[in-house]
Amino acid sequence: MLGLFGAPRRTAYTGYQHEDAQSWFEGVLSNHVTMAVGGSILFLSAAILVFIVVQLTWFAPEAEHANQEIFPVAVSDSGGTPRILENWKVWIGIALVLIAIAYTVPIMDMIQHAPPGSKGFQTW
Amino acid sequence: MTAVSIPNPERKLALTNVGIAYIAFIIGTLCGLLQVFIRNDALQLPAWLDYYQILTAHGVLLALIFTTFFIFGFFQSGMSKTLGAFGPKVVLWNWVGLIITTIGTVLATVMIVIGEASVLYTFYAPMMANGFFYIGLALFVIGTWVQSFALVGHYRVWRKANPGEQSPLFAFMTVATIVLWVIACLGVVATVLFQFIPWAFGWQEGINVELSRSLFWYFGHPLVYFWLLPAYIAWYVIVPKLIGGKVFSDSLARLAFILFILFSIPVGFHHQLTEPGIASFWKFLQTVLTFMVIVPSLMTAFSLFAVFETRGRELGGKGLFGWFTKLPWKDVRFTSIFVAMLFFIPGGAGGIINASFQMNEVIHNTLWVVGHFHITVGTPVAMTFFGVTFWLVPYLTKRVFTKSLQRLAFPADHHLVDRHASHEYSPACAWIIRGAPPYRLYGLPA
Repeated sequence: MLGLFGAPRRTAYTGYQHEDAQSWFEGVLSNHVTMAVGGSILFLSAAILVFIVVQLTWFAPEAEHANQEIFPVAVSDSGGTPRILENWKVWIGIALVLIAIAYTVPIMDMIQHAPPGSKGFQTW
Repeated sequence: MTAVSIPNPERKLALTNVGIAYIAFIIGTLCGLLQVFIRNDALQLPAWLDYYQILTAHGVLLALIFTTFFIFGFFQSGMSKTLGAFGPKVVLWNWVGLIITTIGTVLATVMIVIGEASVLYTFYAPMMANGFFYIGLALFVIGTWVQSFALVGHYRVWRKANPGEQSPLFAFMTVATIVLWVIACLGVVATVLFQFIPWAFGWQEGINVELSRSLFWYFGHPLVYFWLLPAYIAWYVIVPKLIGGKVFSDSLARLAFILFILFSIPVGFHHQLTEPGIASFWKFLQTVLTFMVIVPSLMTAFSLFAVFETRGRELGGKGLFGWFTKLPWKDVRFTSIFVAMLFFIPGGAGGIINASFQMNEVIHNTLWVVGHFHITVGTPVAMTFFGVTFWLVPYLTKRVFTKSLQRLAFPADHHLVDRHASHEYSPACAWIIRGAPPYRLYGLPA
């Protein structure tokens, strides 16, 4: 939602002084407090999830044959499935043709009309 | 079917992948937590730690490392389950690939941690990281290729042993995802090997920025489908089984995956709509191809809900929506994936907005994009992977997902959902209701 009001992404600080910019962060739903609350709950959930994974890896009771977890694969009737769907040469070929159509000319343009190369910047 | 479990070599392989995925996951989410507090001015980082360093770590570890390792763990167990035990060569090459991937990951992560590569996970030129960061990235991709080719090798062995037969749906979808991944990576490999590495080590004076970005997005867009397709495998193949139903249509599912291969790669320019240096015609052409992706997406959505409704009615659901109440809501493996699917509805709609020529102007480079990313990859994909985790890990470790752990899983899930929703994003109507003009960063005093 902040984005719709124009808040930029990927910025470390949001201490803009202009009143237009300040107005982005007013209200209950669109300020950085809710974002922080959300982030905290999110992290708590992630921690619980990782706790469950650790439990399941090392500590949960070992399964007997009867209550062993299965790999759930649903039945799929492939009787009527056309053969051509598994002919990879056809599909990879079409994919490459589409890529060639969409990219060849603009990429050639970029290489042929390239501006002088840029040096590297370290912005942090 | 005698053995429930897959053989030990595959179990170890898959568990290692899933384990590394979750290590990356917890570090990545911790970085996310720090970020919201920094933005809120509630937290001041020590001088040796930078916001963009944490942001890079968050993006790389969650979007790239967690997803990729988890996906390969899922593929390895599923391929062994549906096509039979791996031969010794397949096991060996999977390990080789896994080790190369891990070395690349560690190298890139170290570079980020020591502050040599705060270039965000899109590593746009002309920001320049330490050359070893790019080498780490290259090793990561090569490692995934080795694992990919090992899995394709296993599939070819099966095809030879079963001439003229259709492969199991899981295996077909895995191969489709791998095909997509290998073709997509060509772009990032090209730019990293021929542009970034020579430039970062000083062998080459300058870099062609526009070309590097275009090659990146040639890879960057199908990359999101590389995350999404494994989630779709779970939706198409696993979920029907969890609710006691069948796959809606085998050929529809296969066709959808093929359409994703065709229409997810030649579309990278829709990430570059505001960039000069690309003629409008090519942007337009790629935008049209982008919108073709809506077709397999809707095919997926409708066929999945058809499975739900069919099964709900079998269980005695009455009336127009009675079937809805019959679904196994108490099964966290199902519920977490169902919620993931719901999030894909606004996620997909937001994506259509982003890819539209004019509307892109409104949201370009704003927090909206971050929101879009979080409710596509962050919620549907990650939540699906969590739903898979709940049975895949005990399946691999031969342990029991106990009742108490199941109860614990529910709040974990629900909180993830609740907060991801309001995190940075809400439906477009908010803009209309508030009547706020879409200010952009440009022209405002910072």
